[in-house]
Amino acid sequence: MSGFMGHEPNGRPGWPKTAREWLFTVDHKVIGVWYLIGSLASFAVAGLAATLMRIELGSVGPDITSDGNIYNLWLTMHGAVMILGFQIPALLGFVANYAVPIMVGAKDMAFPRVNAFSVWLLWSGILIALANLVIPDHFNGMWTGYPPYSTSDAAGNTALYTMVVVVLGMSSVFGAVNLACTVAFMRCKGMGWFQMPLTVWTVFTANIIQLIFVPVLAASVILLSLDKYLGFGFYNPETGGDVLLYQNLFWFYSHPAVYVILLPFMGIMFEIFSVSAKNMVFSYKSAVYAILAFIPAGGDVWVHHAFVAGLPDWLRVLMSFTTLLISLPFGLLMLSLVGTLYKGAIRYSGPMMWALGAWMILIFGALTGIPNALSAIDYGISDSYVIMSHFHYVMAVSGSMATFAGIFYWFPKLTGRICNETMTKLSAIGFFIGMNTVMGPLYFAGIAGMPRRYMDYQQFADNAVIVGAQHWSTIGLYITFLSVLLMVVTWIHGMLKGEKSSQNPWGSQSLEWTSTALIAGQGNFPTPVEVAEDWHPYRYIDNPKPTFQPAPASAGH
Amino acid sequence: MQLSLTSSIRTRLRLVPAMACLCAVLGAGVFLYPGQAQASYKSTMMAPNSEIDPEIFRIDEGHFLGGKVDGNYVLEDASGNTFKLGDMFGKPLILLLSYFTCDGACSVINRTLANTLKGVDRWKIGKDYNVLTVSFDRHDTPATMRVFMHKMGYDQLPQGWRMATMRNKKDIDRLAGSIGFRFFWSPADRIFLHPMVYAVLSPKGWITRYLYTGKADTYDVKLAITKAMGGEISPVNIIDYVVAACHSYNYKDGKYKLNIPLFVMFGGLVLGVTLMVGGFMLAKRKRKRLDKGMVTI
Amino acid sequence: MKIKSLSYKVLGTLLALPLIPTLVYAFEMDTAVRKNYNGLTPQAHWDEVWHEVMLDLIVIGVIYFAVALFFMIRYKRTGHDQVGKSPKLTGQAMIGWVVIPCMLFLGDDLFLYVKAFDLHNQMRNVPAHAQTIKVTASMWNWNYDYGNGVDTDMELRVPVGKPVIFRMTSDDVVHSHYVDGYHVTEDVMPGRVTWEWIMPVKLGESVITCREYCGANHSKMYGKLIVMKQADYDAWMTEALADAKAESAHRVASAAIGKVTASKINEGQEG
Repeated sequence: MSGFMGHEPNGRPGWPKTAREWLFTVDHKVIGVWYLIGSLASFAVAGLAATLMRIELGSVGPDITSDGNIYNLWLTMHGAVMILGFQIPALLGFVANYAVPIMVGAKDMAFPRVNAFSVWLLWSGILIALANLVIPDHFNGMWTGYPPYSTSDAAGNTALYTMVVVVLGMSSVFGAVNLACTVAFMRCKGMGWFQMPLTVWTVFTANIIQLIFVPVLAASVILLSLDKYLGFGFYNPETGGDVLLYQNLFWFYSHPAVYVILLPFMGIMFEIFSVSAKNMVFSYKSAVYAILAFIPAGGDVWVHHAFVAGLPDWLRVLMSFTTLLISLPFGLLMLSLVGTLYKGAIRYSGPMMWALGAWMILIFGALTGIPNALSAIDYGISDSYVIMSHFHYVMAVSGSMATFAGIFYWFPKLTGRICNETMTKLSAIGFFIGMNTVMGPLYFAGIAGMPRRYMDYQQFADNAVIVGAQHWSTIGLYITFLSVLLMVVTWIHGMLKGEKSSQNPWGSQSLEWTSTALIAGQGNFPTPVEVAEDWHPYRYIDNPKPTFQPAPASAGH
Repeated sequence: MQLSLTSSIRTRLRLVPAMACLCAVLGAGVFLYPGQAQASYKSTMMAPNSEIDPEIFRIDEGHFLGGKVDGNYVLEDASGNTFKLGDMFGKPLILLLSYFTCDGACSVINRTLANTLKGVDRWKIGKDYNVLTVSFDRHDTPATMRVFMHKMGYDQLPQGWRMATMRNKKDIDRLAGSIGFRFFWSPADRIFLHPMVYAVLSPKGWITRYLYTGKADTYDVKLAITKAMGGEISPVNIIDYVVAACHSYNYKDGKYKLNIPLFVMFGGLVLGVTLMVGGFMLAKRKRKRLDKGMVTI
Repeated sequence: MKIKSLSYKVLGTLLALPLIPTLVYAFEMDTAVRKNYNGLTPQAHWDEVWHEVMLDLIVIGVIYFAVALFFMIRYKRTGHDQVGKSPKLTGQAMIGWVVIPCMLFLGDDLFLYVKAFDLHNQMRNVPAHAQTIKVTASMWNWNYDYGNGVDTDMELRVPVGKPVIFRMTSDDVVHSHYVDGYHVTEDVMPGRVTWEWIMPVKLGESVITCREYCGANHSKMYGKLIVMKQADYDAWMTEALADAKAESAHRVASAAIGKVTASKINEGQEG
């Protein structure tokens, strides 16, 4: 299969040669790289904000700042940029754009120019968000932006917040339409719905969720600015608005947004687990149905964010139950994950170490989610470090570990080289230990009563559990910080000096590794790729090889 | 790999997203110009129609809403029987304070409410909610009450509507005080000055809403009763709950109005689904043309 | 054939699995016991349910993790060309692997849910004799109105053994009233009245703090709850009442002075 025009011997697609081509590309692979750069830049900014906050919280009293507005700026930037700038673009941008079209054997995305538009919007959004760091009236109303605080002058520039959410929301929506269409209609010949890799399924489902719910978020956030600057009063009780409504609208999107992040990173874990164990994903079909079940099950759980927000009691009890139901599809996915290891032949490669770390943390994160769904328990732990620790375990730590696992996994495809395995594993172990030291003690601080979003905890100064947890958490951050530095060094080293990769270093059966005849620029495959009826991305025994259709007679024009 | 479009057109088309984003950023710049925030949560109530400073009668709703009315006050009805205020609880209760020798405002308040309630089809007086008129004039007797009822146009009050007097000045002040209702005796005019307002209480006696005569219409009263049922609403009334949830109370106008963001949200949902369906149709067409070789990517 | 139909029956029976813990719980708790919740205070009841939930989670987590760890060690790749040999699932096995785990999860969910439902009922049903305290939150203050003209800022005193209900509203933004040790949190917002109740049974102080982000001094919006002996509370209240009366008298007096001044000015203008 070698010898086609433009492909490199190691299976890496060729890159554009000029800056102009880089900038104005409509090629999904280059756009995927743009998404990756954007999301890693966001990770750096938001991570630094987290570092500053963690240092501030290391002991009682001011450590590096005593100005609440500055601290709240860091906090707002950390939340908003991590979620909107790092996680969603990394998973629904980089993975969805770089890997998914090749995984389904498509020539490109369904609408390449729309795709370019999405990534431009993403960069615009990130730049507007970063402007928040330099403007005098920075927005400090948190990534949630609850009114009436966010419609008051104290919150700073609400328009910027609205703008960021709307621009990034548009980027997501266009990206989502594009990706959903690509998966639905651009699959190569012979690839049925149940022959798609789970990464494709999860990204597809996540994008459907995005499409349904993002416009709701964008609309409710636009109303915030209309309220503040034009005095409409949609959320102003004085003029008949309802403060609580915003919270409902916001979480109606933002809880499904958790699954938008969760599903793709679980998809990456499936990919790496299956390849490392050289084993069929356990109960593949039930995993697919479980993934799809997240759309309806994810749509009726948002009220658990408002258990203590003055809703009628019967609604709390009812929604407590619907929230618990999410454990069914999630449990099936976890079952499929661990089942994939059964009778496997597990090789502990670098990406596998990252994926294993992500998966262990996910167990803890998922289990600590169950008490939060019980309305009565929530009265004691609402808005405390228990909640903060839980969602950091699920989304932040597990999510970023799986995302980095994905970057290490597709690294040979991106650069043609492979990262140093020891360094990869060391950084994974460091990150795992570091983040557990950051978030583990904080769970106990939460049980002891520590609320979220505090810049100081003078009132708990004589509470040994809280003070101790904060102290250890800050120490954990230093470990994490060093391991992230090591990870970046590993990447740079891998990119420049890494060992040359073979075409299929992990032994995957998925098209992005097996159909190595990728061409430079658009098109991906010289002629359309085709898979047999019994081909399966997770079948490692007697899997029929994908073939290329013969070049059509008219190809010379 | 030949491409059907010439490279210059392609390049120009590639610039389109970039240009669009530039416009978006410039637009953002204009929008980001800091403006004046409008957020004030002190409700500014309109006054009842009287000549003295209306501020005196203003009910500080923020302070009194959610307060509990004691059910232990002893009241006396037209036939001289005593009962407790708490006996009226268990259903939403509309509580009016009036005095029975009043010539104008009081009978207007009661009569208007009676007419309004006739229009409330969904909830039946006595079955779904109660009404109670209490006199704040300790000189009122069952006799003055009957005269007042007559003036109102009733010989017999509807089932579920009771009128009562209280003889204990201390209790009257305490009850009026607990709902923030202020009244003054004007020796010059020989009348009581008081606001034209009534309170809607929850089945447990918590004040859930104040409504103003002349502002609240049938729809407002219906919604106020529905909302007063609050958590105790039964599953068969789920539609009423949904309707109530679509409305919120406007303190400025004293009326309920539609919760617009809720509808904007539905608009958002429809937009998302439309985009999805539209995208699918376009992509399907494109795939067909791709397969036929009519276009390239 | 027979085995197949038997296995369907087994599968069908499993659908009833989730109901078992619920039924057990329903029988174990008769209504008389539930009425006073075994004499538990809400906070003790909360602790009990919390520990049960934690135990439940630890059991699930340990089982899952132990199985996973066994797989990870047992199925390590040894040869270079080794591939996994997981058995291919038949249609029925696949259904079984969906239904049985789902029913187990659902059973566990329901088990936790009935416990939490019971707790919810206790935490959301206020004893009739509860003392009402009106709470008004503002940036960044908690104001407690005792309903008799006395109000305090950032400090709440209650007599021991008497339930207290907070009726809360906010002057500006959303806050959240949290009383440490009582496991109650409820948001406080403008335009709405929310409530929570506590049952103070232990003398001493506990932290009251804000749990919903409310701006620069969010973390400084804390006060304390002081639970006192009834006699001490009465003594304090008498003093506070006297102070409140004196203050309001002072206010009326200064208002009167203001009026006199105003009328003098008016006279002056007329003159």
